[in-house]
Amino acid sequence: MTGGWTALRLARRSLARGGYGLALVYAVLVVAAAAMVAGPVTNRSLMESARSQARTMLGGDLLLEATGRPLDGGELVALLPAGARIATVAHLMTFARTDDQAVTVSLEAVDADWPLVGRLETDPPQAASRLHQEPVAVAEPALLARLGLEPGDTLMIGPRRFRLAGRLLRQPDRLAGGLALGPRVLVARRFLEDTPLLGPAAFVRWRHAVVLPQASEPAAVAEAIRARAPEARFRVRTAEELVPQIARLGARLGGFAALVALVLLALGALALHVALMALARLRRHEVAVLRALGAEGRIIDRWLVLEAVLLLAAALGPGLLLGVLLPALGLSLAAPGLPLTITLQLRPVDLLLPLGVVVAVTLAALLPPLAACRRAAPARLFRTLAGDPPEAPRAVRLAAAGLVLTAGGLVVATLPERRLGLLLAVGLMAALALLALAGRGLLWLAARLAEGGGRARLVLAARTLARGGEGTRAPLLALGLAIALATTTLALGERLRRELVDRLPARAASLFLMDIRPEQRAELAQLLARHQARLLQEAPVVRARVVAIKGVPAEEAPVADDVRWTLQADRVITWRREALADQRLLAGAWWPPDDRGPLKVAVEARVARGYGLAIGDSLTFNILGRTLTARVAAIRAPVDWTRGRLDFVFVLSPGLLAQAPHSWIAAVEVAPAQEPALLAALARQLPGVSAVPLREVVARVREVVDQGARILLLAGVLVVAAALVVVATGIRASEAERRPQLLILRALGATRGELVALELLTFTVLGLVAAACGVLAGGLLAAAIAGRIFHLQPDFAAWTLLGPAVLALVLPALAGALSTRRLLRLPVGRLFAAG
Amino acid sequence: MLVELVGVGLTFHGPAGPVEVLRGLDFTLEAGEAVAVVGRSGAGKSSLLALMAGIERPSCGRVRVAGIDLTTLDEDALARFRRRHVGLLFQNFHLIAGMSAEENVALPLELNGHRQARARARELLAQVGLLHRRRHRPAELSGGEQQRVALARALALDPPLVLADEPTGNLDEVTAGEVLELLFRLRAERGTALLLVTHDREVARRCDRILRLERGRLWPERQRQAEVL
Repeated sequence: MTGGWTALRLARRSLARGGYGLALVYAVLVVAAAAMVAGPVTNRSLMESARSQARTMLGGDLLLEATGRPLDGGELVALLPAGARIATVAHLMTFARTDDQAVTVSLEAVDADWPLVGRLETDPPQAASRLHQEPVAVAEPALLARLGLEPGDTLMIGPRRFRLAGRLLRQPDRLAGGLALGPRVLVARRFLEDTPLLGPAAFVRWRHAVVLPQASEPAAVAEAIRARAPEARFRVRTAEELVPQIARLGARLGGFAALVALVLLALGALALHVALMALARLRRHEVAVLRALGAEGRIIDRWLVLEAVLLLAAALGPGLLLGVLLPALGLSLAAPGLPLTITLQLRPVDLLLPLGVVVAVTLAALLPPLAACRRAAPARLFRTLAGDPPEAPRAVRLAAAGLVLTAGGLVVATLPERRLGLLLAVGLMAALALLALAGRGLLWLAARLAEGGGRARLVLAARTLARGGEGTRAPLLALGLAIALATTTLALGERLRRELVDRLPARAASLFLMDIRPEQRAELAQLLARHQARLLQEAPVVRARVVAIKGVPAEEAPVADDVRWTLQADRVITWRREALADQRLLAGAWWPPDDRGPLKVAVEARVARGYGLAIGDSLTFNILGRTLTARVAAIRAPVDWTRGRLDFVFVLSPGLLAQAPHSWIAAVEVAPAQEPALLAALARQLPGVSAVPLREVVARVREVVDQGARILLLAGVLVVAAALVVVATGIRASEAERRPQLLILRALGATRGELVALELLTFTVLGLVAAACGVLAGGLLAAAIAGRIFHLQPDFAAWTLLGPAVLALVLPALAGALSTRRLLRLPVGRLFAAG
Repeated sequence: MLVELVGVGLTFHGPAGPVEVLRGLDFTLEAGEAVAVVGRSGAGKSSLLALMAGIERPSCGRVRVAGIDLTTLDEDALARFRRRHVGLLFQNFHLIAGMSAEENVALPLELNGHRQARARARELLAQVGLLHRRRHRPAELSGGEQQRVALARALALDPPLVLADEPTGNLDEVTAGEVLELLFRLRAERGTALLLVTHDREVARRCDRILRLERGRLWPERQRQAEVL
């Protein structure tokens, strides 16, 4: 027990003494703990919020969607297990009108049983319960503002007049209907039942939300439905397979959040390691004295471990608090634009995992110096005070590395994003190897330069680096790794941001008009002209379903998962005599304008690849009940669906189709001031035509993307801040080694300016090597993650690679200069005494 | 016989090649005896002292202190040996910068599980005339005061052997005299054996024997002169 009490007394005394070095170690431990907790907590909060709300967002356990006409009772009974509850919603784009204005709205016509999950929130609250009692509507405040309405006023939807019962504050399943293309309006379905709005010709998306009996597993039921009705005209989705666009955005942000979480965890661990090594270095003289005075190894072990544990215990509280507050702040910043309510999620595993890493890293950082000190004779400890400490036995170094690897493996194994974790772990190890190699190279080169002579300052800097040994390699490793991680995060974050923002049309059409009957085109043209609107694009369309690929029924054909959606419901297809001017073909050729031969089709590249199609293969469509087979004549470059222009997966040669009953869709540009009047005129004169206010949609998407970009920026700032802490700690840890040389040079007459310049040069060389290795490793890692996880081309913005490189050059130089200034501020005599 | 060195050699291996410091060195020290070791700088005097304290290991030969063969002990056993048998006085004191004078003196007592370590440390500080400075840290003490604190620390566990490396090397004449007085008073009172490494003739003359370390071996001062003559 004596050893234990003595160790405790020593630890308490060391901590009570404090000092700048200890304060910095403590600060790093706080930041490291915060970083390690903040990442997983943010990731968990995003993912858990999405998961817990997915069922509400979907409207139930399952969603069956059909276009055109709903599934009837018999069909649903046949598909679903007994005891399933169903609520049906009809979703369509239409106009809400007053006498003199019209606004395109997303209309949701709901069943009395709706919503099965969640609660409709309205203002006043009782408006929700009146929906099914009388012809009333609730609408989003934007509609009331646009039409100048107040609750109690009336509005027209199709041929029906509804009284506005209140404002729609929150629709639980609003994501299930996709991104709203106008203010939402909710009415009871029974008041529209016999109107053309829900008639067979209308473009209505029917949603049947299903709550399954307790024993049923949604994924299994969905699979069973797909297996039983492979060629069905409806699509079945579970909460896991939410709206594709949102899911993709979510997956990317989620993937990135996981990356940031891992990067912060790694940086936190690195900072912790550097801080504890610094602590061990701070105590080297005391260890040597104590050993000489007769302290056994176990007392030293217990003392340093106790000191580290006490420091960690004191740092973990504020660190955890900071680690929870940061995500809370970040999420509240991002919350307004996100389509779901994010609640902060704290799970023991998110605290235990970093804690496990903390324990592993603490042991890995302390074991080698302790083992070295146990083995070395005290005289050797004294001799090595001004240089590299004695090296630990190889077995201990391997055990320490094994501990870190095990902790890393544990983190990767418990991650849902295992591939990402593995990639990052492999990338980090490669970066480490590269930096270790660079460290050796730098030492070798510095030694040659120091021997070779030349400019005095350069030789002195080279000598400092060469003699530094561990003092040169350790900051290089820490700085290089931090820069590699910062580069990976910044490059990927910016790449993802650009991916999202660039996909938004810079100059989109103002409106998409749909369901234009051929005979309405002339009247539409006049109407557009009257409102100074311009027709940008128009195309004839029919609904069609792919029924066979290369002669194999679609349900049996091997089709890639990412294009399976093209088989699950009717698609809108078009025909065209000539290719568009900017049309790029990857294979084949467009048909001649006057082609009268068999039906041909140009297929979008991603779909062609997913179907396994080549030029000359056949593709069979069911169009208006008739089966038509077309030969693949061309494969078009991938279509970017978010560009805000009309485009299609399948473009056919005219021929037969031109004679089939069809409608037109059009992209129109109109000045914002003219838009309300144009919409009102459309609603009055061409009642069957619906309009999608694209400008508004783009604005809403941009809002979401901006929030995403804000998260990316915040993550980048966090990572850079953590990297900064690592660098500062590494440099502070090297002060003990740098002090004697500074002291002697000062005593020999070097001015402060000369010494600051010398140190600047030394740290700049260190930064240069760290920058080159860090940016190279980080860039390669970012490219690997971009390609393998996010399926993006690694065309990173130059500043995201140059930024960390500049950081690597400036930060150590700045931190080094500050550290040098502090050392030089002490009187020479004091430095001697402390040395 | 308190100390016996037989055929001791010590070689350091550095990046520039091996440096042989001691070779085939023989030495004995009786209990209560005072021996001074003199020699040129770099002759290996401090290394010899470190070997006897068990803070350095010989490359060859045998080191026995108080009947214990130090070359057979591991580092922890050497540490326990030092606590029981050796008081160490370093040339540059090696006081722990962050600790007060009292804490520094109490250290060996605490390591030995002494219940009244702080009270005993104060007694020792009083003996070296520094009780009034007990709360001061090394940086706040003069060189002589630091040496006296280090002496108090070396004597804390009442060791049978005190090994002092240049005990007066950093001190002025008056302070050096005071420190020497303390050391030799202790020897007289407790029968403590002293091995002093020194450059100071006056210090050496107060010892029973003077040995010169040269070419890796110890030579009695008169014997060496005779050989030279």
